[in-house]
Amino acid sequence: MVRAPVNLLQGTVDVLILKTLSWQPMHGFAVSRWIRQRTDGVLGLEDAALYQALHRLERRGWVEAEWGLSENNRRAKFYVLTPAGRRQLRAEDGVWRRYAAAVSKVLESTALEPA
Amino acid sequence: MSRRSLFRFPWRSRQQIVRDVDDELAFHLELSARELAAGGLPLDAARAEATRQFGDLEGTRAYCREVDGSLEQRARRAEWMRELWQDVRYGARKLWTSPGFTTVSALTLALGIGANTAIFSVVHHLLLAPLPYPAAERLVIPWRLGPQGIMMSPSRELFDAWREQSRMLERVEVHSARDFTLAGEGEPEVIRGARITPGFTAFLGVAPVVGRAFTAEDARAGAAPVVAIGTGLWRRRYGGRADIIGLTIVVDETPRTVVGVLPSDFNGPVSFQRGNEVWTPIPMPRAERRPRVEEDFGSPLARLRPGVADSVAERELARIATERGDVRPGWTAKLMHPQEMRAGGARRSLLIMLGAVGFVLLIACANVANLLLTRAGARAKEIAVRVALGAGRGRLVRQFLAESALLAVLGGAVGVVLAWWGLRVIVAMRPNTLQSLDQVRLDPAVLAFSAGLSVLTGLLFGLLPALYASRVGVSELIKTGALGGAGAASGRRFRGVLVAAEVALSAVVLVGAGLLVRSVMRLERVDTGYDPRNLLTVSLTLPPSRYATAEARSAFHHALLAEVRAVPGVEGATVATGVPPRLGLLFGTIEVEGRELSPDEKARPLAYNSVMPDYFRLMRIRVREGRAFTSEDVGSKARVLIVNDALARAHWPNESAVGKRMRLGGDEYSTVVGVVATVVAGGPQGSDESRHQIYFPLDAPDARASLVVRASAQGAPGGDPLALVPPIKARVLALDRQLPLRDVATAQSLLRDSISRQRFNMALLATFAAMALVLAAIGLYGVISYAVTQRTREIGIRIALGARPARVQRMVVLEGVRMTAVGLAVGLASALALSRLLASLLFGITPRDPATYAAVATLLATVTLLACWIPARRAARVDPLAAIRTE
Repeated sequence: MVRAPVNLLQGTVDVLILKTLSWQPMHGFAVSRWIRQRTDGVLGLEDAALYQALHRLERRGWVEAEWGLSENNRRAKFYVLTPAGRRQLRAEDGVWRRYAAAVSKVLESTALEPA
Repeated sequence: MSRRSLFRFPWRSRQQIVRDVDDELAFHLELSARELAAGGLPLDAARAEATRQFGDLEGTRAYCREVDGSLEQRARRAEWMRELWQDVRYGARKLWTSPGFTTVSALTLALGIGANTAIFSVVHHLLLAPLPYPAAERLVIPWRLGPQGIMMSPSRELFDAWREQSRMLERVEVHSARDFTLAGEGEPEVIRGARITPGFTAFLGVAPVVGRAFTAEDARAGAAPVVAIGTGLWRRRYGGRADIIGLTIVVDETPRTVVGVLPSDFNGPVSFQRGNEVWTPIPMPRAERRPRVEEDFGSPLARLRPGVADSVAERELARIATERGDVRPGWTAKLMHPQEMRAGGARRSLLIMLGAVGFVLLIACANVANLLLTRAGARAKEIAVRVALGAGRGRLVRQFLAESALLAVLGGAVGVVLAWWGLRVIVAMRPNTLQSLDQVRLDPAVLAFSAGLSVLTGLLFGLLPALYASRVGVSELIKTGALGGAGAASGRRFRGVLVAAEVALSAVVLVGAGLLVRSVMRLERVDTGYDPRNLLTVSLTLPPSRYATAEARSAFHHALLAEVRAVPGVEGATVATGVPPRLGLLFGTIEVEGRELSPDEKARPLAYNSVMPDYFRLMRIRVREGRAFTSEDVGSKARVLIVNDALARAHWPNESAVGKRMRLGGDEYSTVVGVVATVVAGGPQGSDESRHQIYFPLDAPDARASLVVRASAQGAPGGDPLALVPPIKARVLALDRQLPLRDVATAQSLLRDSISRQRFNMALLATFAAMALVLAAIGLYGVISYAVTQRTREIGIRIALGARPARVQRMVVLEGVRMTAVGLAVGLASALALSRLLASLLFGITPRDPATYAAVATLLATVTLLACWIPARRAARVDPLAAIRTE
């Protein structure tokens, strides 16, 4: 499945969130910090985009939200991966790996193949 | 499975969604700011920085609200569907576990819905569905309209003028119904058919099944004679042979070449009641011109231009007719609509039937509502548990409605099967005035009606019990374990009202049926004036080509009579031009010697019959004065006639008519030699225009005459005069191999046919009345039985305290009587008001016929007493000890 660059970006955000939530339920801030730490800030994921993606994923039924208490006892909205979300993550994961492998192959080829 | 479906969360309002999004974003900004502050920024700056880092805050806020809102809505819808499905499944389970209740209710509803579906399909076919022709709503039949509403089809010349000059009519074609004699291969037979203009089939969008339709060339004078036949005739008489096209068959003595096979159900909207199977082209223009004599040309069928009002077209046609001098002063034109003519005069009776089955359905609904109420009472514990577990009233109502909707759908499905069967019965007993009923089908429109009716029915009988059952408080339920207290009292009252309504509705239908039954009984007891028993009539048409002269026709008749009288079992036989109740009518000026008649008396039509001398003896028509014809009267110079008593009384009051003279249409005077009894003619009770009757000696028999045979009472094999048909047919064919027997009937069947519509209406309404009565009785029985069951304990105490069983029995019966007395009174009063609608269908009685009302009141009272008495007897036998111990 090949996507246009803009979609690729949106898809990227979605798959990152799904992967993050696959470890444990988290609130939005935690998701944001988790991704930032793992990518060393390289992706520069904007919080605005993150929250929009979270709500979008909720509407698609891939994550569910529940209100709970944060570490410091504040009312916070926690996101949980649903079984459908887990299936989606697996699917996206495969696509991404093949995609990345294909891109790497192109970038690693140093010279034209002999004719 | 999502958490939402495990636990029902309260739905979030729009404000709540807004608040949630705001809280979530604020929480994020707060943590983000804190993080920044921990890094050394002052708090204010940290907050600003957190907001900046977040990106498009307001955009995100709006986006999230929107997404959450739509998510919420979708979840609600899904939840609603899930609950509905749950209700349906739960309802189905409940119905499955109480098969008795389900069967009784579904059958009750099936009766109601089935009767409605059957009658609606008839109404749909005859009144609502458009005729199966292109632009059927613009099809019209233009006729000439004279004073006092006399209608005449146009002459050929007027038809031509209308066709050429009218700008309001798009197209005009002609259809002229007639009977053809088919000879050639096989037995000769008479087939119904029509002469049509060549464009008639294409005009109605009818395509030939095989071969072609007529062309203008076929209708040209001197063209080779052609014919088209119907698919039915093709299969029946010609075995569906493939080489039918080009075959020559003899139609009315003329060999014609078959050019096409037309669908047999194509009758043309002008002759709905006929099954036409032979068509010939009308010669255009007509072969020989005989001005001043109007040809029997047939009925035109035209299509109005779109948007033209009837009145506009009628004015134009009248103008054309007047300009041509085709109509006398005072005559105009009138458009009839085939769509409206389809039902014949049955429109009113159809609507009455629809009303009657509506009543039956209401009674069925009331019965099922009662059953549901009873069930709700028995299910009190279950309801209590559900309420305690948090089921809201809305959910409970929906639960009950789902159950009743299921019941209605079940009843509807069985009802459609009943309707299919009922429709076959209706078609089988259709009156001869509604022959086209054989094309009634349970088509999609009718099925949609039944489906809609079922759903509506489900709501109707389910809503009240649902509201009632869901109204009770939890604590009360759990305390008493029953829908007790105020609930029970109002339930009983409600049930009483339902039963009273049922009795009232059935009283109305019963009165209607009773009035029709009494009418038919009167009709059947009408004094026919002759003895129709063992009488057989056969109509014979002698083709002019072989029987050109009166002598030839007379010779054939005498030869035939000699043969027929010799057939074993024949008591006598004669020939006449008419057989009652079908007599010809004469319109002409009547003059009575020595008396001046008023214009009305002069113009009065006369029913006439030309008969052989032995006609009166054979028919057993009483000769009141003078004598019957003798053989000397036949062909005699002295012109004689016989009149009936009504005519004699009208023209020669207080004196004998015998020996007096009268004449018709300026003819010579004839002498009255006898006065005979009036025979019923022209209608089931004798029409007004057939009241005055006149007989001529049959001296120059018409081409068409009827053979009348009386079978000897003991001699007719099997007692059925129809058994004489084969030997008579053999005698006829022996005399003339080409002569078909037509209109073979017994006099009694002719009489029955003449009241077939009345009998049809009676049978239908009586069936519905019986259904109404049975359903109402079942309803009443159910309610009283339930009341007895509920009050077993009370009754037990009464008996224990010394109440005599007879007294208990009376108490229970009285409760039922109270309910029904009100219903009966209301019902009879409504019937008095509504029966006026029936007036035109009645004969010999008024819509307020006291005997009918008395009979209905007695019948209903008896049935209700019986319905109460059975449970009352059970109440009287209550064992006080057992009754008190059970609770």
